[in-house]
Amino acid sequence: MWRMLASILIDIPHFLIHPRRFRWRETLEALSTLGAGSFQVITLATAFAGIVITHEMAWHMQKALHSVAMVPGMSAQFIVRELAVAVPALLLVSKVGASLTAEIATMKITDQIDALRLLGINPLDYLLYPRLIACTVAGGALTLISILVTLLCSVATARAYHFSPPEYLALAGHFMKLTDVIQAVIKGSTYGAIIPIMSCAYGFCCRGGAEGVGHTTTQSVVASTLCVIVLDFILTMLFSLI
Amino acid sequence: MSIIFSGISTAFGTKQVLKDINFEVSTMTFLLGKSGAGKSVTLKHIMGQIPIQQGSITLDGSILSPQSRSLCGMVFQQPALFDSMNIFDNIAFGLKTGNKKERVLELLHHVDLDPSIVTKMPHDLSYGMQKRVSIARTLAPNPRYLLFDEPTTGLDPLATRLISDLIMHVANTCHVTCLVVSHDIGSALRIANHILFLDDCRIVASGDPKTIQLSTNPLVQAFLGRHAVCSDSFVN
Amino acid sequence: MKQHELKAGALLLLAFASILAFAWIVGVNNPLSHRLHLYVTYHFAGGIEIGSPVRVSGIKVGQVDTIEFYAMQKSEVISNKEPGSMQDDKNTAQAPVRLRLSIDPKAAISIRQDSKFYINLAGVIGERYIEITPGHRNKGEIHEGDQLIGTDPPRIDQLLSQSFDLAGKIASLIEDNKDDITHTVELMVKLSTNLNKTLTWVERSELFKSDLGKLVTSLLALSQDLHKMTQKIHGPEGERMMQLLSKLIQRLEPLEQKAILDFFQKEGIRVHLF
Repeated sequence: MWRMLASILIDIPHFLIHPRRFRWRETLEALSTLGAGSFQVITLATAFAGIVITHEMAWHMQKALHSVAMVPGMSAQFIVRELAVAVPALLLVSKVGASLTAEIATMKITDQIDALRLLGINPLDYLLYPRLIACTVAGGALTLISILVTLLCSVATARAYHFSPPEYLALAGHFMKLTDVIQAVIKGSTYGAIIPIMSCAYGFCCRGGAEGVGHTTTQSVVASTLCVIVLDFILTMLFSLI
Repeated sequence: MSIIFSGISTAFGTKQVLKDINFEVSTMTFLLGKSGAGKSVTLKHIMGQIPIQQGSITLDGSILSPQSRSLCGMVFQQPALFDSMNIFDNIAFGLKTGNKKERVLELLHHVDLDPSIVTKMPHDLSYGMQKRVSIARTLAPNPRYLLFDEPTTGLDPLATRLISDLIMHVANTCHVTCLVVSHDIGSALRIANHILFLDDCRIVASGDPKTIQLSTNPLVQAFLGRHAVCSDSFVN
Repeated sequence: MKQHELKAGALLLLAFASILAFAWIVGVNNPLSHRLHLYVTYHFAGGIEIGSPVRVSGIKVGQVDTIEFYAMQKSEVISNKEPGSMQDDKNTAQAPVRLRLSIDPKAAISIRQDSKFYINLAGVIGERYIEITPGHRNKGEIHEGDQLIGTDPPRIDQLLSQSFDLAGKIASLIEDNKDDITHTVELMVKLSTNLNKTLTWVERSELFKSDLGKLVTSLLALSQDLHKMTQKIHGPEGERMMQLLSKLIQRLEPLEQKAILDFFQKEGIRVHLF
């Protein structure tokens, strides 16, 4: 597995300097199925996360500070910096990561990957890169959308604490910076990129039948989740240094 | 126009798989042997899936290279069709240029399939049909050599016969040299013009079907005996 | 394929719309719109950050674009000390901070050369902003790239350190004269005790009470008499007496000193005349 992962990571720069290896059609298809296909579940999940976090913040502030004045600022910043980045990433891992690994693992055990190779097509060109590009783009795009959705839900929830939407947004605007949003997009894209890499690394090493596919899928999802969480820590640390 | 194995030896760790293998692939060569005798390893050497450790393989007089490898096509034991694509896309996948539609219909004709199936998905077809599509897909880039990895394993005797006839038909109409790795001595005796027996890392018997039938090698005898029983029951 | 294109396009479009929404929330200015840029120098720009709002008469009209340490030329030494600024000889040697403000040209009309640039604190969250006071109409207008002097905010840290110094001095003073102070305090305590005792004795003593009563009564009678006398003096009778007196003095004036002396000597009175 590690050897496969290393060979994928070594091949990525080669792909980047050889645009002929880019497959436009597959990329578009992947963007549609993986990215747009995850839109609903991510929107729904982050919407609820926004509601929950606003109520939680208000409760804690009321307890600790006896004032809810800081709720818009704090919840908006938390949403932009972490919540609306990590939740879509983890959902993407479980949805896209599982489906990609299962697909690639099945292709592997039914010799489809060998068939690709024998037809003169680099399996990475066909299976990894279109999905890698699609997931990177979709990761960033879905992060942006989920930030917006979560913020809107937070705005709606804050009405219960007597914050009108313009008031909320004005207070949130003091805390949010455009660099926060840019950092969130970078994070989202990075997490998006991890998913196909891990799925391919595990899928290409799949052995055995249906059980092997199941086992590989589980391993891949667990590894991708851990990767996302560890990278989240690393990126947050890096961004805090800037 | 042939593939020549000279002095090929392969070992996985301490386990010897092939030891000093020398043979030449002629028009229709069958490579027979017990399971795990190293038959598939010879195919994987040609396709570059397992690197050659010792000896050499020459293709049309020159050492095998990634370029010359493109002259070979391989049909897997499983149909290995891309299940996200329909039949047309599957067959046309290996085509780079030219009139794809015409070529696909021509290939479907070669493997004796109805042109109406092109819009179907692989899982809509029977196993035998999938196998034919898989042969058509392999033929699409115009290979000069066709390698078959156990094409008839797991098929009923009727389907086995159909597939072996198809291999024969394809070899004749498309003018390709075939190397078939199989357990199926019946098909071998029927269509091969050269049969090789692999056992204990070496080639233990080789020759045309008639020579093989006269071989005194215990393994060949065992294969033939089983075939005799099979063919008898089949005939009866 | 068409469906895939549509979905992918919709996703990217939505993401782009979100970017615009954030830009609006965060308050990024339209890069295409025309802005007026001003340079304002400070010695101390406590808490101002890039993006801090700029207000004129309390209305947000722009923001701080950049903050740079501006190496000041000798000729450029800021001479006109602003009230409240912490400038002194030591500070003028340091490189001041230069802020670039981008301001809506519509609001720039009310900013004049004599406008003051205060750094203020607002809101619950303590946000810092630059407040520009509108200048006099007869003063010159500001132009793109003008360099102006800002009013430094009072430095809470310096105030604190100064009050710390004062407190320290007081403490050391007390420490040094501990014995004297203790002595003084002891004396004061004794004094107050004695006073207290005296007062209690005065209160208890019947004799003092009665004497005191008499004293007060005669004092009252005296003051009443005096009051009556002054009233008489101010009245017509008094006036007449004053006139008589002045007439007498006028008559006496032409007399020679010698004659007066003789007169008094005859009467046996020694007088010393000035």
